[in-house]
Amino acid sequence: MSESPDESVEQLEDLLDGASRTLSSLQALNAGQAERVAERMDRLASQLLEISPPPAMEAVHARLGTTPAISEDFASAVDEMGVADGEG
Amino acid sequence: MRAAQRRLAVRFDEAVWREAVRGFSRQPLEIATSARSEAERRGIALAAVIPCEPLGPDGTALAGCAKLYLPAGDDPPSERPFAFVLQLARERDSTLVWVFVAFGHRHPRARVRSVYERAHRQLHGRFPEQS
Repeated sequence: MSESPDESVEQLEDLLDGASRTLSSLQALNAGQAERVAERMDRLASQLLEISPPPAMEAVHARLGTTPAISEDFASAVDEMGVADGEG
Repeated sequence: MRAAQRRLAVRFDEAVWREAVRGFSRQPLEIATSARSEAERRGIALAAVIPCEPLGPDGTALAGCAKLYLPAGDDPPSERPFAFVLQLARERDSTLVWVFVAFGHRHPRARVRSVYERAHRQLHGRFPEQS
């Protein structure tokens, strides 16, 4: 029987919390161990994003008292930014 | 003041922040937290960010957004593996500000979402290939 999304989210959150606690309790990790733990945590965090919705951006702007800038605002600000590097 | 020196305040929504840093290990978490403190204290200069591609090769749609490579400093981009994605916004009094959208790896390992994919999800509610 498959789990509900809520159960899956809870399980992943528990795993991440457990990994964070374990990491905090360790006095020292060698570089290889730290890298392995970090890799696993990154993957778990990405999995969690797949199954849980983000905070709605409309509500975010309402809470912050902001609205996205219009494209003309952005176009004029771009002149002051660094040079685009074609990534992202 | 020269336009190139203009700095904008940064607004962080706590729900977005919690989700953005959830699950990161100690080092990236420290980088993100330190960058947030600095951004809240001093704002972020327009000259310090790079505009995101409106439509990236990975399908991400980030028009109106810019990225700040992290850790902050003068190191070359190759030595700054993380980034904030910020959306340009206006406050009620028309002041331009940055709104924090996402934090993450610029070039992650397999099966890990990049900061650009994370930002697309935050802005559009789903990952690019799910649209």
